Amino acid sequence: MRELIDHTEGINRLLARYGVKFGLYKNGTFHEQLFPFDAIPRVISHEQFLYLEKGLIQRVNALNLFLEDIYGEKKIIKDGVVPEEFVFSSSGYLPECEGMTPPKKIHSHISGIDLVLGKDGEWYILEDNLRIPSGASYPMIAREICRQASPETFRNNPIVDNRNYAKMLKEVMAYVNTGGVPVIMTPGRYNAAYFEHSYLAERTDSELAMCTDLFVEDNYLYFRDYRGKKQQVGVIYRRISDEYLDPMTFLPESLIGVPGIMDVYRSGHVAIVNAPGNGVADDKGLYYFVPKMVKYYLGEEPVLKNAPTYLPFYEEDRKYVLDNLEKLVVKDVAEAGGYGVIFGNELSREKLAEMKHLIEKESRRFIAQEVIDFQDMNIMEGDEPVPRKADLRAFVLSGEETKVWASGLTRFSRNPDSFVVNSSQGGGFKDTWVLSR
Amino acid sequence: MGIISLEKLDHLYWLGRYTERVYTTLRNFFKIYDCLIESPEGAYRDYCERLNIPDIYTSNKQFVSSYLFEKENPDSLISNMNRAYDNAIVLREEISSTVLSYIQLALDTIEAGAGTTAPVFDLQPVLDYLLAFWGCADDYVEMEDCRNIMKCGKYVERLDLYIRLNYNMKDIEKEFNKLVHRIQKTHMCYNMEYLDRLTEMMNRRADWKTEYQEALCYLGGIIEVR
Amino acid sequence: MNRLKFVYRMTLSFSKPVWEHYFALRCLPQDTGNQKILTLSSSVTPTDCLDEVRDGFGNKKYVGHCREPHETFGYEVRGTAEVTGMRQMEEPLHPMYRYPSDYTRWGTELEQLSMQLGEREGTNLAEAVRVMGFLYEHFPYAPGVTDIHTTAEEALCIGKGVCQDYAHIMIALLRHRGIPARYVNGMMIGEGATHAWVEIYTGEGWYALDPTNNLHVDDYYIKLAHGRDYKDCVLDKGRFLGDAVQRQEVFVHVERIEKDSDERGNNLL
Repeated sequence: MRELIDHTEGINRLLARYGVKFGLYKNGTFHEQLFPFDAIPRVISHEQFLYLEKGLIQRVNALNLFLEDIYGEKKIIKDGVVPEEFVFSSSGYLPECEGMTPPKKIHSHISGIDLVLGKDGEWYILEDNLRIPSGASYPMIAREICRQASPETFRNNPIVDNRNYAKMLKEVMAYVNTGGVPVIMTPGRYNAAYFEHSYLAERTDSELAMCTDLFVEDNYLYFRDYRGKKQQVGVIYRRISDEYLDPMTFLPESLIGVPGIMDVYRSGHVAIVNAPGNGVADDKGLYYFVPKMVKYYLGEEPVLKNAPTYLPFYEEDRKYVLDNLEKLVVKDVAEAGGYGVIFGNELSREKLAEMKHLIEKESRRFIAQEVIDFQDMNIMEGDEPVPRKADLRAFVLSGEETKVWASGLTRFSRNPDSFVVNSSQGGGFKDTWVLSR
Repeated sequence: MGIISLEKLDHLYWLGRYTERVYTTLRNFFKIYDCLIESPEGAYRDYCERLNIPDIYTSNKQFVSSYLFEKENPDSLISNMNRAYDNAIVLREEISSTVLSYIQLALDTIEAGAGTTAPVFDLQPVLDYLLAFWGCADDYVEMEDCRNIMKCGKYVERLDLYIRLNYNMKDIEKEFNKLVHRIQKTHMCYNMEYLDRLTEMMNRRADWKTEYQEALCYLGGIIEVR
Repeated sequence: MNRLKFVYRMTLSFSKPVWEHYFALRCLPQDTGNQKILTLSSSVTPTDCLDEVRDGFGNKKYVGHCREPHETFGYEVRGTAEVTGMRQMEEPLHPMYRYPSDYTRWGTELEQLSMQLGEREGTNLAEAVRVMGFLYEHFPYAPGVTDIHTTAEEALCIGKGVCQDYAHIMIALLRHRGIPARYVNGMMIGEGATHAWVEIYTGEGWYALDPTNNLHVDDYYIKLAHGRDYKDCVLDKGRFLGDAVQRQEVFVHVERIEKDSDERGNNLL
């Protein structure tokens, strides 16, 4: 392992060579930024992975059943397990998906579940990402390079190969394909995750398409080539969010969508990965209810724990939150990607009062959580290992079976005082090793 | 994989053109730079003329640094390399990560070279990377059509530069034959009339000094992309 | 009960040719508890393809496109219907009609109006009729001061508006009082434009009220589409390429068929 760490610079050089970057807008202009790699891996033992795998599969299966239920029979509402207000007033709920079942009943094909390891040795789920979770490509390509940098490390340690992600993804796409070519759709190269879009297209033998390459005709989706020939699209892994997907159904001003694609989808003529409307299940307000969903749909005890969460919506919780705000972290349910996260202990007295007032006034808008004291991970700063906050995004793929990718994206914060590890806020990443024994 | 959209066709063609532009102008620049070592101040004006670019420079030294490294100068090497990169970055799954990496390396090398006192020395790897790019493209770009479209762009650009820079007729003819050969292999639409006119100019050994604008007009119009 | 004959015609003219024109048309009336469509014919020109689909709210929709450049686009639907008004349409409630939507978001103006209304009273229907009457009294009708983007709160700020605004304000008030409500697009007897009204949930089914006219929706109305608010059931939606100014003309005509007259419609429209 020492050898691997000694090659950190060389590994980063190769990552740069292959264009492993993410895009950022600073002051209105687009920049590409390298995603710094730290060579000290996160190591997940065999037993630990079996445990995580069990919990993640359970959670994602429950979330898929929840989505099927919400856009269908709504039993969980009728049975009073989830208050309907949290579902139908969520911005992620799309009535345009009402009453329809996606191909093979799968709503969340690629789920990115964010976890942290607490100092108590327990894993906690921080959030579920069921829309377009990104990040799998980074550990894929980093592993490729690490193996070149230090073959010894990989010979001497029983590390499960993680380069099968593309194969897993390809299988999922093939399973839901309604008959046609597979396409990965990108909003374009000025998207933060463009590297990933193009890399996954290359690795899964899919077409990388922009909206101008795609069109709807007679309620089917087609890809048009330069000679004017058209080919039917059977599955589209779209990397644009719901509201931009179809200007005829959602935001009419969207220039990156395909007009009419929602009708094609509703008619069952194309599979959309992930399905539109998933935002209702990864809404921060719904997070609280996921363990209840596991019990309700599967009749099982949830394996993985949520971070202790309070809903100011419930009077009892509201009282607790207002009394303990300075030790809690508050999340605005409408915001994503590390934005709208407020740590009570960082607020001045006035801000604290302001926040309390806001929580009282708009109780449905916020959730509050105990700050989890999570285990630091070492990163190399020069020749010195220093501790930093890090989380883990596990990728769960749902096709014929639900599978957990034996790796994940470990992101760390480079700022020693920060708890936010989101890459859009300047963090780096690590490889995640799952041991085979 | 297997379908080339109109958008991609455009990028493949221009990727061919811009990589070739960087490659040929850099080779040309190396010769000029050598001469500039002993040339009197102001000699850059002749070279602007030879390179067929507008004279927007103020001194020999400023010419060298701006022509190579100034991002705001549309004729600069780095501007052209950035255009090559912009076209390449959207073609990863057509040309592969391996081929794409040589464009990244060439761009990074030019970016790192700004401010150098020995540009020829520092930019030599750019030529190496571009040659590796083309060599690698032959091996790794799986779709023949993609390779052909890129190469059409490359030969159009090379001819364009050779005619502008007044290369000798033998070289021009050789490149022209390569272009004709390549065009016939693709399934692209091309302008037959322009190709015929250009063939006619080749056959009568046109005087490029006086007729180059007409020739460039035909050349640029043979392949109809945006 | 009435037999009605109806025509809906929409014509778009463009100042310059447009192309890649995609459209979604929601002007296809369908059978409900209150209306039975007896005959229906429609035409769309020009178009490369046309498909009938159903949206998430249950409305019928024509979708298609015309790729080639064109300077006009037209759509016509005509038919006859047997209409019974003032009857509850039994249907389970979808919970989405309980919560604020984009156009019916709560605000200070709505809050004030609601205060003036006082506590809610009686059944859902009785309360809805009371709210309708109150709104009719306090919100004057005036065309041209609001537009299709005006929300309920904004319309109240302006202080007057058209049928769309009446419907949005009434829906916002009702939902806030715990009465589920939805927005309806349709046609009314006579000649003119389309009309908008409200359906409220009684507990067992939907009942239609027309706040613009302070009326129970009777057998002189034909319903086309519904949704949470205007945005969900826009009748004609289109997107095209080209730098053109468009002019839209909508012609609506609904008339009663006398018992003994020819119901295929010999009276030319």
